[in-house]
Amino acid sequence: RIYPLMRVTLTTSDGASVTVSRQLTKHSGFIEKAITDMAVDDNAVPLSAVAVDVDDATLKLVIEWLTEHRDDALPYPEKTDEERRADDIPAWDQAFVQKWDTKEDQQQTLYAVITAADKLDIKGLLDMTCKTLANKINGKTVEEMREILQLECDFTEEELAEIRKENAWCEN
Amino acid sequence: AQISFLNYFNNRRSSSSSKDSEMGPILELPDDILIIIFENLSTIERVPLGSVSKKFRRIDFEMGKRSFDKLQVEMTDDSNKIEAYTTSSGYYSLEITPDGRFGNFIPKFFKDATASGFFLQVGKNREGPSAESVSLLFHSLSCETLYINFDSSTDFSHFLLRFFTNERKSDLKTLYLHWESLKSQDSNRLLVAFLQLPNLEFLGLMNPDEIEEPIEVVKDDDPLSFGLNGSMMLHVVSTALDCYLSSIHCTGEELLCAFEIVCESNLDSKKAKLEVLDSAADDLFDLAHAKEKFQIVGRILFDYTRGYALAALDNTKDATGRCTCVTMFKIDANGDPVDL
Repeated sequence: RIYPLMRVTLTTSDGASVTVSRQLTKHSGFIEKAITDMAVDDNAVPLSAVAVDVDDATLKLVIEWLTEHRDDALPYPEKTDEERRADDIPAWDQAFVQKWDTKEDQQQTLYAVITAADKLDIKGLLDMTCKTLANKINGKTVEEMREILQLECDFTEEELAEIRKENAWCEN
Repeated sequence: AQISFLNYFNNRRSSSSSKDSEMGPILELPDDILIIIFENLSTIERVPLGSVSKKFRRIDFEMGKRSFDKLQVEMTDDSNKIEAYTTSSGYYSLEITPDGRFGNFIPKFFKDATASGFFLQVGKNREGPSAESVSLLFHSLSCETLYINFDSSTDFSHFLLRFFTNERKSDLKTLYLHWESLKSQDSNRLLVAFLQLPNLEFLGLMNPDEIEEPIEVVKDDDPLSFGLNGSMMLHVVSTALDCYLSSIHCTGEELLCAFEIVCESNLDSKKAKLEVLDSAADDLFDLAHAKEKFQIVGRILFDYTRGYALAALDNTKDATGRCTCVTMFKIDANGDPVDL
């Protein structure tokens, strides 16, 4: 049972600490497991701090997202391959991402949030941010994908020739 | 506040001048995260992924799960190719070469793939290694509907038999076989192998010249439209524990032979439900009447001499009114079915 008023202190990788409601942290598999592992009575307040391997700035974004999504259903519904679609990101989430996913940022924050969502095991946030990234490369050519993702071609000439042969059967 | 993730990346960037350091931060993400990202792309949207970078290429193949609307394999005089159509507009076309150059590529590309319909057409002059390509495809792919049309003079039925005997594909629900392909040597055994597919609901015959002809085979209680002659029917009855075949073109003699097979069987649950032409059912009773070991009561045929068995005629006829259903099963001393 989760007591809504119960609060959890998180310490970030840069030493800052922030205290949040258990209502938010219940969406993080990592934090929930850490609390369970402490084997303390749920009524014991305050809890010892949970150390998270996420920096302060990213954690602030994570908490902002968790605050909006505090009433989301748990466990996060698993989608089948057929049900999966990238165009169903809620409007609030889209606006949330747009605030910091700017051209200057070069998706650095997006990668940081994806990594944080993975480390903290927040499935909804991971799903949403991965969709956001997928939407950026959806329908793009190889060259455009490389540019968006800041990648360089690391194939040898021979490998490229082999790929061209195999891709010869991909027509549109 | 500086983000540690970026620090890490930026440090790497400035401290190293190798080509690797120019790679974007996406490569720092673990494989399973990249898979979550790529899973949001459709099969056709994923096409460029394999050409972006080595890591993308590896993950794209590891993920597999490409989904196709229709997969068509043609091995005929004019063409030797695999065509894969996706739900969206795109399609793939691949020449199957005799030297098996794509031998590695096919299982890689079709790993855990799905196709709604799989069309297989094999002509006279198919090349040897191509069957191996098809085998690899069958093996990696899951599909619900399979259409098979092969030239009966080839040994392709042998290949199919070997494949479906070794691999009881549980994904197959509907299977169509071309009428002409039934003329091959192994067709009886091939039919039995098909009927033993665990989830097969419909086994159909493609017979473009005689579409009007009501020819059906039924498995369990689901009608399988099919065409069977008497010898094929006997083969299925002797092999299958329980079969339900409809609109069989057989003689009364062959029907009696099927009854003998059920009588002789030492398996209590041996059953056969056969839909035959009225004339064949009438012949069955005439022939049985002439033999002393059988007893006939109304439209029921008993055999008490070797174990107990019973053949009953069901008067329900199909739409054309020319078919009768003959049910054969074991009964106990009280005349009740041993296995319901």
